[in-house]
Amino acid sequence: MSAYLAHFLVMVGIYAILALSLNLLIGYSGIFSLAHAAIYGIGAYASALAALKLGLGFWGGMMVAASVGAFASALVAIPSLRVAGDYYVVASFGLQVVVLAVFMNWTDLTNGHAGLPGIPRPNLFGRVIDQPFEYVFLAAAFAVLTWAICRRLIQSAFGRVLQAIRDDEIAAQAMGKNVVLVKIVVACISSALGAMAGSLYAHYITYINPSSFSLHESIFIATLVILGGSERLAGPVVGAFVLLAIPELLKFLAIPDTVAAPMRQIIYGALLIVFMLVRPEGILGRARAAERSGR
Amino acid sequence: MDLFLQLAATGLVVGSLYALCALGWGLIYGTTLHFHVAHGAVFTLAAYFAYAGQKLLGLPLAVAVIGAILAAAACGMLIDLFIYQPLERRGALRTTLFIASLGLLTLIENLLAILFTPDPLRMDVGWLADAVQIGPVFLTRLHLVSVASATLGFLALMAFLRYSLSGRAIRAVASSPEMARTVGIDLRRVHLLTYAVGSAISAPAGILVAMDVGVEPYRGTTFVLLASVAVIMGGIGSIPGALLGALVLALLENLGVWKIPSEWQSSISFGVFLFFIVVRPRGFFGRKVQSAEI
Repeated sequence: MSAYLAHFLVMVGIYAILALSLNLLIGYSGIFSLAHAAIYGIGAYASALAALKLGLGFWGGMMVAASVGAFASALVAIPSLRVAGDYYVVASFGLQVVVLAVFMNWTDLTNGHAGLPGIPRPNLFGRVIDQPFEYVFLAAAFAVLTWAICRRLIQSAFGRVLQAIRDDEIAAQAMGKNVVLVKIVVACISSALGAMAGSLYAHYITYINPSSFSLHESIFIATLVILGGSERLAGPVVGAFVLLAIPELLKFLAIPDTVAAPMRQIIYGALLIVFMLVRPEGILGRARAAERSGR
Repeated sequence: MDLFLQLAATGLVVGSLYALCALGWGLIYGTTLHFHVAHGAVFTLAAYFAYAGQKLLGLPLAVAVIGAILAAAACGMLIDLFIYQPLERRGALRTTLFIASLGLLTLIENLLAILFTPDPLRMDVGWLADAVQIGPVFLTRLHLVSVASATLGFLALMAFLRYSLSGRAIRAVASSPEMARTVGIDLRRVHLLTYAVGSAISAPAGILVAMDVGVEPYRGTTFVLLASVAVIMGGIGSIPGALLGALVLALLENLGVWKIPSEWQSSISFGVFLFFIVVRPRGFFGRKVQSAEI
């Protein structure tokens, strides 16, 4: 039972990192990305390959993961964020499709559908972290680190420019802010953090394959952010906790596996619609001023 | 050379299906500015309606198809009436509307997966499955029907928008909602009409794919996002642009197989898309895309 609880908490930690980092885009910049699972996957694969092929271990792997994630994101952000918002939705979906195709088809590197087994556990000061409850502390430490980075970022001058762009892009530009550069930088930071979560996942499960990083996963991560409340820093964390608990509760109802997976998606979809109609600011969060004035 | 012609013909067939999807999505996006991803759900529902009509109710194929198109149009209208219009009345952000649409897409796809299993279901298409040979190219009759449907759909939509009063009202709203309201056009009714027409024109694409390779719950997402790529490439608000964008996309995907292994097919479109927004963000003939926030 304690191992089960530990596993749940590790996953909450990993998803909290993913949701916090995606919220830098959705909540604080008004950029909607459908590629966060791809970034998560890039982190997992980069870190796993660095550990397996280059022998860099957990810490080196994580550095590689963050850099590759930021780079991949820049590749898409630089063309698509120069133009308006809806382009990024489509471009990020494109990134999701292409990255998944790479995971599945570049078999020499990624081993295709079969995935990569035998990823080493992290090593902390000469001690191998292989107990689930030890991993809870590691995941929690990284979640807190991500939280601190996001908080620092949002409260900095850079963060205020970001929110100004979200609320009124033209006004921010008129104030002499480099809107495009700010958006590209935040996309890279968000992706570096998201890729870090991937690295944490790969070294925890020790086996990865493409199915963990699909479009459904991207939509799921966006759901965590939106239902938790994208206006507050804590919103995505609440979202991760609540939405990961739902499938655990479903396990108590004796539903066959083939129905349980789509059933989960149905619940998430229905929650999204109901929240948008009734409480678009999410579980936590305050109504945005622009929404009240009807813009 | 024969291979090239065969790939070009396949590209044309696939392009016709993309085109039907893109015409409907583009009409809705151009008129209402809703990033209507749930259009993918309407596309998929149309296929299941046709399947249910034929297999569960035992209707003749033609009747099932026509019924499915009408039902899909009704679904489009219901989505606007019960989800988008309440959101708009409250002055919701465009992102809010997009998220609700995404939720609806997820909901409907998975509901269909539970009701009908996630596996592809076959429809009986009879003599439509017969192969025909045109020079060195082999296609089925169904493929020819796809091309004919896209041609007909495109011409009918152009004529409707140009010559009918309701079509002109749609164009008026697309070019300027404020001005349209000033001259007494009811925006809500025009939006509803747009959803009906847009859904009806994309429904055949869903049905034709299902008749060709089986009914599946999760195909709509890819189709609707490819449609959005086609529309942006063609230029927002341009109906011929959507057609051209869809054809170019499908031809590149299929001709690409000549040089690139086929498992990378889906990546080609998005490579093209990224290239396009760098070189020509307005698309072939259109106006610029709207920002998510303005």
